[in-house]
Amino acid sequence: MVRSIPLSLFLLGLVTVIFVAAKAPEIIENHTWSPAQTPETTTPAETPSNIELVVNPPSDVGVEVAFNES
Amino acid sequence: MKVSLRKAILLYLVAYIVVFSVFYLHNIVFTETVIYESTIIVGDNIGFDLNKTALTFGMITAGGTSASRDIIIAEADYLRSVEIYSNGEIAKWLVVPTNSFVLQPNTNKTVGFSVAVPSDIELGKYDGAVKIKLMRTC
Repeated sequence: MVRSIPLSLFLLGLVTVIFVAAKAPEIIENHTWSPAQTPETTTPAETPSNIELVVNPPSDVGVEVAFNES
Repeated sequence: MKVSLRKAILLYLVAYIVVFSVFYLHNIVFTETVIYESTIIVGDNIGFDLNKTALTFGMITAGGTSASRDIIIAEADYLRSVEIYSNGEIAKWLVVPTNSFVLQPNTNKTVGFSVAVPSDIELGKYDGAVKIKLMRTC
């Protein structure tokens, strides 16, 4: 008995296989690496004068405060 | 319309091998990777390390920020996409202004790395590495 699958299922599988194959070299190369950290930018959602705090690096004491009058 | 399961599996296998090979070769041919060993010593005073072949930060105190070190990415005559990765013990303390950017042809760029270690870690030497991937885009 020859088993078969619908064409749509076959194409879906083919797209998945191609996607995985395209990503695999990058995943293999970077599996022990993570993107280097960048300074965190925090924008408070609701502040009356739209204050933006930029801390660089995360544990540094330096804080830039930008006031934007609106 | 239906496709034989045997043929489907064979086609999946061929498609995987072809696509994987193309992307793998593309990575080898069009990507330049530079890896810098990186070291920091957490001690009770401050010391500098002027090693220019590795990304070394010398000795800093726990809870302090070390002097940053710069890496200069040399120019090339084509457009490149740059990604910066890190690993090892110091990866979580290492900070760069940006870890992904595009470098225009015939321009170089200085990337500043700095390290900020927490105050509650033990004194000692911590290692890691930084990888810079330069991908030729066209």
